[in-house]
Amino acid sequence: MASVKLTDVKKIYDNKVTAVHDFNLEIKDKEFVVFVGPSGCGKSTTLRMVAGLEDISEGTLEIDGEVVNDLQPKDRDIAMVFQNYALYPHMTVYDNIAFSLRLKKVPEDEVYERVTNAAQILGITEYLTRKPRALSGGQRQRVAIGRAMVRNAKVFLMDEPLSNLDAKLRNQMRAEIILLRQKLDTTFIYVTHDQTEAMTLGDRIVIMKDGYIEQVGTPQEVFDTPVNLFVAGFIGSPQMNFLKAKLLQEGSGYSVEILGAKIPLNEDQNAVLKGKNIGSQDIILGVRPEHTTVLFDRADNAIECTINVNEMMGSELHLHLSSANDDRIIVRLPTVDLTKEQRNSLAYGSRMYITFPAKVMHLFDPETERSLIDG
Amino acid sequence: MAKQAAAPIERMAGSKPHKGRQITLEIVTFLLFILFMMPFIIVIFNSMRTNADIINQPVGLPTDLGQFWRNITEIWNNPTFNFLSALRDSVIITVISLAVISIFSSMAAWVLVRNKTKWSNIIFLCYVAAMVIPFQVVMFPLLTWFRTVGDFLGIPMLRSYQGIIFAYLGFGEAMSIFIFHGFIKGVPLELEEAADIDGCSRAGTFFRIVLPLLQPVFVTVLVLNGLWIWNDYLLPLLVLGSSGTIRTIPLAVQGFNGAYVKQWHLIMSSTLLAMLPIIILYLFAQKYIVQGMVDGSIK
Repeated sequence: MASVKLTDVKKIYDNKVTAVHDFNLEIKDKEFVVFVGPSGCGKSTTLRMVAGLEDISEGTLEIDGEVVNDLQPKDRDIAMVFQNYALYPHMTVYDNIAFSLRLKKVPEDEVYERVTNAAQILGITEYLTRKPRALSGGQRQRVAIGRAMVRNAKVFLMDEPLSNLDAKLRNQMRAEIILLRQKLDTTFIYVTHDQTEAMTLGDRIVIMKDGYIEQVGTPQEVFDTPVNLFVAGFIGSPQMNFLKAKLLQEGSGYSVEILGAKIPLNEDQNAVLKGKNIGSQDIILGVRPEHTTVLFDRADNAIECTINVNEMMGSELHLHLSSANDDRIIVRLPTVDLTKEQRNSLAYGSRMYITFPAKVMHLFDPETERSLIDG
Repeated sequence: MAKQAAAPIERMAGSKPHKGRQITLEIVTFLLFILFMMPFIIVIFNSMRTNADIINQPVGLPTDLGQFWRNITEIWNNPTFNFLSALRDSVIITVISLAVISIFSSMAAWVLVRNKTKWSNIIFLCYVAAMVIPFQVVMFPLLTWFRTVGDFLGIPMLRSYQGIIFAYLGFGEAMSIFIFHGFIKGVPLELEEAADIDGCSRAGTFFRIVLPLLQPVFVTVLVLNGLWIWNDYLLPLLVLGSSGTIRTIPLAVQGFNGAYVKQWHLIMSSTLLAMLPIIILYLFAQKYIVQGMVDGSIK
């Protein structure tokens, strides 16, 4: 259990490529923080710097108030779970889990107690005498977690631990990590490229791109108030729709004009825009698929669209639409609300209308790509 | 379409058009087997014959199997050959050479793989280049160098165990590092990082994690070097000399091959004795040799 503080941390490789730029973050004791972003965004590099597997080029890393930049990984009191499990193939499951304890010269009775206890929590007691190659992917991942668990380390690091598992097992393991976290009650740093994992696991999410932090916040914050186009597009599935639109300032209020529809903004939005002294301008309008209402008939301030693709997901339909502006729009439509006639009318090429209230609209500057309201 | 699909199925079933070809191939393979085994068979048969028999008819079947034991007893009791002493010297030189070659090569290869610098590439390329230099090119400079170094350090390098073992380390290292290098590249770095986090020192990581994983390729290196060192004649002749106190089995066998008298029955029997340990080692370890080579190259 410990706090972790990264101050102006940078990673510059020998070939002058900067993988991480000025990373500043304070992780509180017992907090579960998730680094999320696309491949090459620097999330794993940052985690590896915390682990001590990569040198820190600039800046300081503190664990529990102590600067650990120059400490070896074994002296940082951290535990880590790797993406490919990194189990020692020539050792049994028991020996794998016991390895770090034996290196610390923990008495064999205590090793036995801690290993069997961890195995019990993870449900791998019956596999303790097996070698890792005789285990399934999910079981191997549990062993890897067990190996990290028995160390009672200050910080628990996980580098994409679920990405080698199939979708079903991933969901199951995700739930188990949530339970494990409650049992261990320690500080977690978790790296993933999967926004669903980030949203479900993290107390706070750090969204990264090209070595920079784009936004840090709780899952609800980054979902509701993304500060830029990247975060808005990255968080949420299917991703947020982006439409070309115009912001109009009329008297004391603002409205968004899109394809003939004119949607007035609410008081809070007006206040923010006015505070920032923003006038009429072109904008990119962001609307999440689940916040869009589908109409089968023409209505005021509704945008006309054509259906390109109709994806049946079971409980809902994902409609891929295109507007007259050639914007691509995805809409989620719960199937339970649809009549048979309505479902039949959602064929390729059919026309339909979409609308959304002002409070779900995200307004972005096309130049800076930053949110006009939440940034 | 249906016709196309049927063709491979017919081939898999081993249909008639290929049967003749198969038999021809098998006959050719068998003849090649006989051809390659012939020297070995001649050694076995002639070790069961008398010297006069062999001189009269070099290739022939043994008539009296008891002759084998008489030949062996003669070798055993021969004071010039001194089989036990030659066996002891061969074992000492082979075992220590194999130990130092395999340990030093695996450690060197590990460091070369894990330190991705320009210099580690250059050093590795030097080792690879050393593999293609023929022994005959360096054998005389080696002797001069050994004499100079020996005189300078006061450690005899010629006619000594340390000299020949050091020479074998030099000659065996290049190929061994090459084989280990290929294999270690396939060992996931995360295993070492996990060991690092678990609290292992660098040496601990090598001996507890990396070395056990090298087991198949380790056996390959041991057998390939063992075959060569055990049977080697030229390097021991140069470094140890033909009349020194240290004599390996191949040097001792040469004692039966005099300028005027050649005792063929003893040469053949002693050759068979010399071959036996390494053949047994090879038969036990041969599955690892193939596995080790494949593991290093394509995994």
